[in-house]
Amino acid sequence: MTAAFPALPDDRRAALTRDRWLLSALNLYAQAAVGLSLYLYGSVSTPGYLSVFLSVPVPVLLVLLAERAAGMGPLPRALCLLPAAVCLMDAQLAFFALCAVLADVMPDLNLPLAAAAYTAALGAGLGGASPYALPRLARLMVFLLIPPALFCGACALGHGNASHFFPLLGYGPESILRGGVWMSGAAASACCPHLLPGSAKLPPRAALTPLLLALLMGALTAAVSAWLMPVYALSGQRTLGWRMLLVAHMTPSVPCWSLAVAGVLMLLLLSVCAGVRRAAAFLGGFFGKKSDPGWAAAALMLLLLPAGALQTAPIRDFLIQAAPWRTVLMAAAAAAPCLGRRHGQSGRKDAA
Amino acid sequence: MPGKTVLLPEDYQDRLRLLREESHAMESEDVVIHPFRALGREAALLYVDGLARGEDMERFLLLPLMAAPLPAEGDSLLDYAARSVLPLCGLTHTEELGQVLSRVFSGDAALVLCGMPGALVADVKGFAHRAVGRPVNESVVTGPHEGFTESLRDNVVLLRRLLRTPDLISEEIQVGDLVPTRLCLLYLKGVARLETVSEVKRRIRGCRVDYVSSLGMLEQLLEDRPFSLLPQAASTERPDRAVSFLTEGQAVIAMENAPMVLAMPAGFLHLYHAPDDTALRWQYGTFLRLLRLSGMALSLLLPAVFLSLTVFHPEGMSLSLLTSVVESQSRVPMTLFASLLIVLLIFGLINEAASRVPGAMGATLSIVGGLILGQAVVEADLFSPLVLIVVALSGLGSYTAPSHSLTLALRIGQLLLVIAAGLLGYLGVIPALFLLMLRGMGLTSLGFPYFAPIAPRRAANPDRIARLPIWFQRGRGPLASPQSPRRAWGDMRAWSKTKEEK
Repeated sequence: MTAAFPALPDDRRAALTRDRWLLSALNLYAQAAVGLSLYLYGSVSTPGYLSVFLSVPVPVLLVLLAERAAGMGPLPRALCLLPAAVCLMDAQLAFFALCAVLADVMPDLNLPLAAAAYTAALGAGLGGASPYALPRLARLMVFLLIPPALFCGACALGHGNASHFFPLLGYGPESILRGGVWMSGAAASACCPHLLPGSAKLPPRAALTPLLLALLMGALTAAVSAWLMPVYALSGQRTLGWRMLLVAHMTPSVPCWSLAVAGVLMLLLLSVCAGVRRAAAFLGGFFGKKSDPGWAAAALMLLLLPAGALQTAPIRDFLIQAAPWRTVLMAAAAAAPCLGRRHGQSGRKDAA
Repeated sequence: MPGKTVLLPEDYQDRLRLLREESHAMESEDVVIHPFRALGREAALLYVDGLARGEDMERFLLLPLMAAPLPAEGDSLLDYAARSVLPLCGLTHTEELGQVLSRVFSGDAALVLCGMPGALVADVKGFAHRAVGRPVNESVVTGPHEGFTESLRDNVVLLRRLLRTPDLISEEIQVGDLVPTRLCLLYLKGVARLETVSEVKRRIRGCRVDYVSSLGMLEQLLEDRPFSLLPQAASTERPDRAVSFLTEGQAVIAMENAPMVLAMPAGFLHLYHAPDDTALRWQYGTFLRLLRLSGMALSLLLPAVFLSLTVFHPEGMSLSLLTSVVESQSRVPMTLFASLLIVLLIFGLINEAASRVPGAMGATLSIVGGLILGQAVVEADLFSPLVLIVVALSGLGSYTAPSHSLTLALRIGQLLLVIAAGLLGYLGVIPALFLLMLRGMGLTSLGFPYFAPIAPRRAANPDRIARLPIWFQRGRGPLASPQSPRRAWGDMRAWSKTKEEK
């Protein structure tokens, strides 16, 4: 499985792994933003940020579990399909949201054509990209995305109202809890760097710090959204794209609009690419390929096209229903090697 | 004669005939075979008139040979001539025809003696070349004002004068199968990684080409990704900059007839840093670097963002600016996209023309192109003044890049983004920028990540985007050998820890 990175010295492997965790964190933030707009605003209402906080234990547990699994060697081939499905689901949600943003920014856009153009361009870009390119881009994106996000947040502060946080518990604790469970799906792929070939073993802090910061950013985004507008006013009345660009729409600052649109697009593009490329890597593992298959990423991009281009309500409902299952799939992939080993050990003890 | 070694015959007449034929001395008037008698036997000197210095040949070759007594019986003629007769340091004996011709056509003279096998080649180069002068394209406010010349030897001497250490290694390599060109590979032993040096040598020796006419051509033959927009080697015409590359662990390639040298591997930061950054105080250096970075970002993005906002997303502009744009654009007989493309093209034309015309006329051309033409097209309502302002600003921004190759890459990137903006506004610009960055992030130079030590992060000299104080820069760059990771082991301002005496 490590043949794609044949002669990496330790420092390079560590740098690659750190960049992968950053990519994971940015992907987590993107998934949290998509989850907010797609599900939490409508089902949890004002305390969406609490649901994001509730999902925090999931990535922590998955990262620790995946770390143990990674310590036992490469993921068994059959299990590679599970994280591949999770990553593809991540990419699908991000692409769905991306197309919704496209439709919101340019309402008279021919969305199927634009979605097809995006698929082709991203597929070609990913197909020819080096396996190091995306993780490194994530590191650069941290510098490019966080200052604009802080700027937009600062711009938004003057245009909100504390009364928008009420009712404090929105549709009630049950909905918050359900929201937390739903959001745990968004955090499912966070542990991927442990399972991907070529990663180095780093202290858990190196992985958990960026992930928790990303979730904190997600909760802050939810809080800023609630501050800006009564979230119950969003449910069912605004499109997904409008919700994704809430800060841009609600802040009359001129540079804020441009920065918010550019930032959201960049974040979603990164999330789509990360999901597809990781799914391709896991699929490569399933088929026993030794190298990271760029062409597979290009082919997987095509799978995302229909849902993104059509943007129908049944597709959206299906995505909402399917999204939380990512946690189960990823937990199964990370836990199976550990359980298998324990089972083997107890079997040997019995035999002895 | 690629890959084929021809030895000089033992018989003197045959040897002379072969040299005459292969050097085309009968056809070329400046290729001279001068026969004479020396040490009691027939001899001949082969040289190219004008390349070899006549005075040196007379003083150090002809006169000593003609005046020398005959060698004692049993003495080797070659040893006698080389050690006892000829007062020259740069003497080489070779029996290979290709080497003799290559050296003769580089300005040396070949001595053929009856009874001595092969030929003795003497370094008597004396062709005219430009003296060391100011660097033309890399002028600085503070810092030395010496630039490389077209003479390989002078360029190596310039580097040796700045780096007076035996650790500066200079290895000569030839490239070109039909017409070999001399290169000099320079590196600091112990500071440059061994794999860097061996990889550069491997690539140079692996170039199969008849003739390498310029350093730029060699760069294209050596780089990792020739289809990438970004340059993967840093060229400089300043010896002090070349020295800074060497001390960071890079290999430097100097070439005959090239007034600059090439440093490899090179990443974005090597192209972003200017030669006098280090000479300035850190506050000024940081200020200039941030200004430079803003200029480069402006150059890449401004026209595309302007076009996107004006045509596709007017909600992202303030009302007063939008009114001004719409008002000025309403008098123009073409779309904003077309006018932006045309003005960018005109800017490129003026730029290209100004760099081709003789120096004195360049300024006139800039005035005619920039001022008169600009004013005329605005008065004739051919283009909106805002378009001219945007293109002028982005053009200015592109010139803040210290590397000419990077300037050109920025301008091509700018054009791609303008086309993407013309198609879909922000929705075209952002993915295009994303894909450009994705390509850039996968780029390597001699296998080293292009954007290191930023992405991937490397523990190295903190001299990255900002120019931190010199005394913070104790580490070398990420390209240096792990055996020599630091430039200073203690506090660079150790004196500040001791008590001041009054």
